[in-house]
Amino acid sequence: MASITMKHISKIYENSNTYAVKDFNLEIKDKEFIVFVGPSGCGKSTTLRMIAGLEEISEGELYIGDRLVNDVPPKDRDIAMVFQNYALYPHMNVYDNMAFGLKLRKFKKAEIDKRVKEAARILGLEKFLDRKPKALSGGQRQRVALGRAIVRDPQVFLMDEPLSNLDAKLRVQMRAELTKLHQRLQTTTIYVTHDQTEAMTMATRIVVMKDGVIQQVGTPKEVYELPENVFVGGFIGSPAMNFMNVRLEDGYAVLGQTKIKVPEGKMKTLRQQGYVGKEVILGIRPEDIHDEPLFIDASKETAFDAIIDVAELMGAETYLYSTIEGHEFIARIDSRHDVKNGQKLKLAFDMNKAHFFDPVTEKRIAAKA
Amino acid sequence: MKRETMLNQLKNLYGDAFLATDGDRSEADADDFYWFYAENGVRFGVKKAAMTDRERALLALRFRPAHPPLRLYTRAERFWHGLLFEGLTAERLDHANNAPYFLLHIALKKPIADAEGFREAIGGLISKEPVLLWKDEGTAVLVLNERPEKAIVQEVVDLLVTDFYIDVAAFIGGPLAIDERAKARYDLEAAVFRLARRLHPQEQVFTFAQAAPLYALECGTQAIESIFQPLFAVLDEEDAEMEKSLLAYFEHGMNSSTAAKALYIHRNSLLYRLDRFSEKTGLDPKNFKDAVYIYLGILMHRLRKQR
Repeated sequence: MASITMKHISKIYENSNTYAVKDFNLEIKDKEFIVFVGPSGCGKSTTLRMIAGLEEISEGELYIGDRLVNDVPPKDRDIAMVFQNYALYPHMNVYDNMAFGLKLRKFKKAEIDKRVKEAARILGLEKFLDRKPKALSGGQRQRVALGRAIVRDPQVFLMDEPLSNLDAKLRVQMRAELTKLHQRLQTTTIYVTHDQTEAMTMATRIVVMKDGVIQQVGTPKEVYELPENVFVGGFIGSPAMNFMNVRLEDGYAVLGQTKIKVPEGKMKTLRQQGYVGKEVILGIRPEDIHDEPLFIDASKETAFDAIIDVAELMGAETYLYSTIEGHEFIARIDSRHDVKNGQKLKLAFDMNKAHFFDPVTEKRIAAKA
Repeated sequence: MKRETMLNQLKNLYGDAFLATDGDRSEADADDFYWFYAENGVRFGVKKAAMTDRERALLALRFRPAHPPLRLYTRAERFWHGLLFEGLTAERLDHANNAPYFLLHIALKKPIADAEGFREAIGGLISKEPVLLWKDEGTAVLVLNERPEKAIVQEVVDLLVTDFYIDVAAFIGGPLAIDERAKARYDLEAAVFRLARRLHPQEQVFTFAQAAPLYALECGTQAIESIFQPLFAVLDEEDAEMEKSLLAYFEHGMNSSTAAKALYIHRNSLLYRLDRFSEKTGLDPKNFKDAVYIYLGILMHRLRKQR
């Protein structure tokens, strides 16, 4: 097991004048499960491939443990990769699929046998070692693909969207299995996904990326509760955070004819940084918009009347789609509250949970340390 | 001392243990030699038994070490090698099968160190003895009886990357008949593949139909470029998202739902971008004939940028 350190890592492809990854700095601790998340083309897979050694690093230094590995061939980096296609050799049985990588590395037969059987035991595949991949279920095949990586006993696992080709039910199941596996093996893992739910549920820390640049690094809770900027706020969380441009008057966020009281603690920060009288972006998560009478009674100055365009029953909760002063928003409420399409409803923002962002830099306005 | 002369001296020194080219010895004993590249790129070998470790180290200082020549294992491989690389005709090769074949071109970023292991891996992927030909240590072609699906080829690529730790790209060729045009067809597909890899270094799997328009445009004249000039002005003016959105829309068979999903944006956002493009250009990406023009224009735009 090992730590990984990336110092000012950048990637520019030949014949291109733009950075695929720019000035990437990160220290991944030993045994961490770190998730790179971001939209397509944000540079997360390119970063993973640089760590693997499949892509050359244009600028910067990469360390695995305390060894500089920029020029170390991939096979000597002591890593194992798992890709989104839970690809297996169709004409090899499960045992041979798991053993093949070790065979290529000229491991002795006895050692291969020991490792394959141990990995099969961990993954619950002992009964299937003689089967060909076509005789396995999707979940079993995915476990064999993981087994191919586990038998190598690497210092680092690199996983590139390993669950994205699975159906929704299996994805949830494998998510839990991967987390359990990490707890058991304690191998440093870097996991790439575009799915913020996977990032939130599996990571010890999340790295949010956009346009080749790190937007924020933090625990799932930090990234969710204190997004550094509008992008992170909008990308992490489902449904996404609601954003609306408001004007700040002392004590209030003004949206058209609606005035919403801003808690004094937040107002003080905004005042100190000269935002009073200016426009800012208000960000509020769907679950921080309430319809409970008790909450509304206690928060009269953040309450407003809304016409519900659509109420979507999701099971335990209901998503309400509505507008405030022409701005669309989504509220997430308890589904025990019966709300109909077209219904007029009083709602209130929990402004203690709201965020304010600078309209130019789109960075969250936070108290200065 | 000139290296050509040095090669002669080595030949004199090692006699029968010296092999000046790849081809004048049976492939079976290639592993019995240490291999090096001469300055002119020709590979030469010296029998392992005839060299001390010190001699080998000295030679490696003067000549770049090489892997053993890649072998042709079967009669079928020798046949296809003759057809595709040497231009031998089917008649000369005494082969009567006229069923169409498909070539899966494979390119490795680094030379293959374990060609036997690679062959075994390919054997695990297809049901019968593979016909795998190496053009050089980084370029191979697999001859198949049917056209492989792109998703399957992506799986193959992933497997090879995880097992061999080499960046792999693959290209699915069009149907190929066994006749005197086979070598020209192979050469054309190889050229299209090289261009596609140069322009899309992050992509791993290409198909002939998807990459061929790029090649046609690359071979075209300035007159072709001028046809798309009005489009370039709009593409230059817009941000990269517009070009990306249009391309995704076309590459998903003009299906806005799947394209939006691939772009991780809402379908309405994509439709809004397409409408904005229509307003600016008077071209409708949802109309097939306009779409062909826009698609080729985007490819040409990318080629220009690469230049």
